[in-house]
Amino acid sequence: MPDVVEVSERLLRNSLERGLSEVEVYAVRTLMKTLTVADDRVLEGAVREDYDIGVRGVLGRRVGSVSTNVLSLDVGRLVDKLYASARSSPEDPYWSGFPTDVGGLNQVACYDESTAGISEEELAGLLSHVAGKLKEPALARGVDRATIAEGMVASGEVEVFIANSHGVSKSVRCSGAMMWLTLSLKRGGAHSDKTLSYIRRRVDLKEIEAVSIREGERALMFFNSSPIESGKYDVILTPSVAGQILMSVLAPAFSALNILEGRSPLKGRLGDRVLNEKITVVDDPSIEVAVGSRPFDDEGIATRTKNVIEKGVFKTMLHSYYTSRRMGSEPTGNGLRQRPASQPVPSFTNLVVRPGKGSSDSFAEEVKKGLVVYEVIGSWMSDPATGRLKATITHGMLVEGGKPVKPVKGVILGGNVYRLLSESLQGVGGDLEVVDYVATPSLWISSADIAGR
Amino acid sequence: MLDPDFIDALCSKLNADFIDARVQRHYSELVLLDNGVVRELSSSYINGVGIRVVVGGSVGYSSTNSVERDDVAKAAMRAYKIARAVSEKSISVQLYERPTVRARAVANYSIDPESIDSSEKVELLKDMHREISTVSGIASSVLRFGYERDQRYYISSDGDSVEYEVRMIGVSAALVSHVDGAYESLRDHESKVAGWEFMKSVDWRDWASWRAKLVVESARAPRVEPGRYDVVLDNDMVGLMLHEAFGHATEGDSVLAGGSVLRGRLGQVVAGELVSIVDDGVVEGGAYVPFDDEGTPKKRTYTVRRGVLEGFLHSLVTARALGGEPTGNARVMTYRDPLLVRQTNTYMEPGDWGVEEMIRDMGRGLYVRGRGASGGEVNPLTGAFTFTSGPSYVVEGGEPVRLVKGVMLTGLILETLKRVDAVGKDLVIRTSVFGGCGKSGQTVRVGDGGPHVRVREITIGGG
Repeated sequence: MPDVVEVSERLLRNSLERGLSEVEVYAVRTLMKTLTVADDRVLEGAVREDYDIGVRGVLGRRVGSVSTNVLSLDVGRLVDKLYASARSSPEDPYWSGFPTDVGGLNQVACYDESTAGISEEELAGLLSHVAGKLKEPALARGVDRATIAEGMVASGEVEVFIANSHGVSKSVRCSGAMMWLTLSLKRGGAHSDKTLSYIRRRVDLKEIEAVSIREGERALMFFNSSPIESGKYDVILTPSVAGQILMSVLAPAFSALNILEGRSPLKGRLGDRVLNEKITVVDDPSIEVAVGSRPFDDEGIATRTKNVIEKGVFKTMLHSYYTSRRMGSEPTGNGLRQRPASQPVPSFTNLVVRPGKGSSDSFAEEVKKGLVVYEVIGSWMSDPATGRLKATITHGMLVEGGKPVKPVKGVILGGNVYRLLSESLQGVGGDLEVVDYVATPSLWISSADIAGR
Repeated sequence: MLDPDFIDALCSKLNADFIDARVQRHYSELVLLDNGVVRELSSSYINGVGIRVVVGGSVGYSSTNSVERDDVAKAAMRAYKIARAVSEKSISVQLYERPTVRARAVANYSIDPESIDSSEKVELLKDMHREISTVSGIASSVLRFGYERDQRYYISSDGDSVEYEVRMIGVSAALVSHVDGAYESLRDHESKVAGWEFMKSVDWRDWASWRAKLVVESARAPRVEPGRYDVVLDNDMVGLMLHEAFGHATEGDSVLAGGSVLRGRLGQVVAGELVSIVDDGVVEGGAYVPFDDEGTPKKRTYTVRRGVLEGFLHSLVTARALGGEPTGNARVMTYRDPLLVRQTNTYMEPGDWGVEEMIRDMGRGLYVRGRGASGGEVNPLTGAFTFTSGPSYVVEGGEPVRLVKGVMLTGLILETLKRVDAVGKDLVIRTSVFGGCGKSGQTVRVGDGGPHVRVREITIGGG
């Protein structure tokens, strides 16, 4: 991306000339094609090419930042704004500079040319093919109506450039594909639905076909669903739900910044057993085609694989360069940022729960009475500072004696995630599934609180 | 300078049915104070133009971060190409033909926040942090100052030329307490469509202190027992419930796609007869949306009147397809994004109950408070919705008697509002500069609120 690199380097040079003691530039170029779906047809197509540049500038220990998407910007004016921002900022007593180029690039393949360069026609063809597979099980069983009510499919690439005044200068280009489609079924007067979600660095047609057929079959399970009685239930979380819950309530607690600043229950727990010994959680930036895979973090530090939880013991916290210097630790390559101008904070790349044995199906056969959970909403409202899980089940199946007895919606799953994944954990499945940034198998939890009728 | 004539000429050149452009100039500031240390002090400039081309009933979008005519023409060509490429598989879109709109609006403010030095904004947060630090039991405090200036200019090949400008400003706090081995957290914000005068009108130290004391008290409070409760919801909670439990399902694009449980229910009873729900673009305390991003003036719209589903929220596309009228609800997060049908300010019209009267009459249940609530989510197709509250009170003998924490509520769209049996006289609507409503990856500023409302038999869990 010559324009963005050229502008970024000019910003870096001019900022240093203006008198800033340290400068860092982070630029992103996004190229994406998207098709939106409504009622079985394409509602619209979109082609998007964006640029965003963030600059952080330092005066001693005072740090300020600016960001822009305007390549034709007045560099001098932006640098003045950056200088004023740093000057207005109070000193950060813990500031210890931007990283130097420590080298050791982790070789991670995150680019697939056919995914990045997909044409509009190919994207439309992919959408039709996947929608057909998703509807196949329902149509084979003679429902009255099967439609893709809403959804989208997108494919393209993201290119990142990072440079700082200590010699870091790196860029990487990664491809990406994303799809979510909601299948709506009607049979008699009843309705059911299921959503397919798929995010990868590369479109793997065989994988997406298999996921589509599975979700299409699951869509047939939820006609006439309703809440169940409140009480304690064994709960079997399918991989996508387990992943969603881990990401919202557990993962933020691994951040060294949250630990340092008193908003993680894992503060002071390094080396302690915090989860059941069946649980090992790995931060793995090298999984082929997973969306969190990347050779370096948003500060240019090489990423690496590490066990965060090993057999239930909290082994490694996730560091940005800032937190690693504050705590006298090695950086872990986990400095990620929400916006181009923001300070990188520790976060995971891909979070993997090591698989055990069994699956949601085999757990459901084994449990006397339990609730298998296929979709939830609101899990993001859980509280990682306290470990309290909150999620509302929209797609669940009550099972008794190994048989499905009643589809369930509109009940709340709650509890302390550390208790649920310690003494209440009955099983970790072998059915590992990569869902977004998390790969987990199914989890079987006994005696969880369900609020319903 | 871009104008309707230029867009009309592009439309003729491409032989398109219709072209419109959304020009945006957005400036924002953020100060983030983490336990007394400035973690971020940033300014951000986002400018660009989003183009929609309708050709043969097929729709394409593209965008550019330049306002130069050549770049806008190239973006139009990209949008044209993708529209043509998907035309065989595409819905044939037609737009409601409304009269041409030429208008301009600016949200009121008196002191420009951009004229205030950043050091004053930092000092405001530091004052708040000092106040919080005096409260024993606080483990973490993250304070944010946020400001944005959003200038939007809409032009179309039909001759529309609509411009508006809005400033929003506010403060948020995310606090964690640690008391006797128990952690608790609380998030809250205070924002307004205004300038720096709003910052001068609030005693922020008092604001911070009240929340710090509440999160410490909450850490000592028991967790709510899961089950079914009669509840009185405060103004914030009513807004959240209406937005999640009902508002999303009235959005015309979801209805059109078959993604809403309300499809086919116009004229049916969907709520108690005390319930009337309004979507309005300009209200005291709310977000400022005088026009939508199709240039349509935002009309005050009843979705529910006295319990009956009266209408949906519309764009030009959904109004035409569903036989309604445009309501001014076609919105984008930024110039880069495609149009979606979104709520603006959603609220319930007040009734005639006093708050204390309503709680006393309930006798036993929960008084559910919104301060510290983290939000909500709905699956409009399944009809299940959920939202959390802040620290709330158990009601016994008609009085709030003790604090409980960890409240999450859930219900089904077609059931819950039918159980509303008392609506208060008070009306409060709030908005936020820090977030808004998320849908299909786009977050837009919204407001919500209402009077206090009593709902019978609602499911509560999350403990």
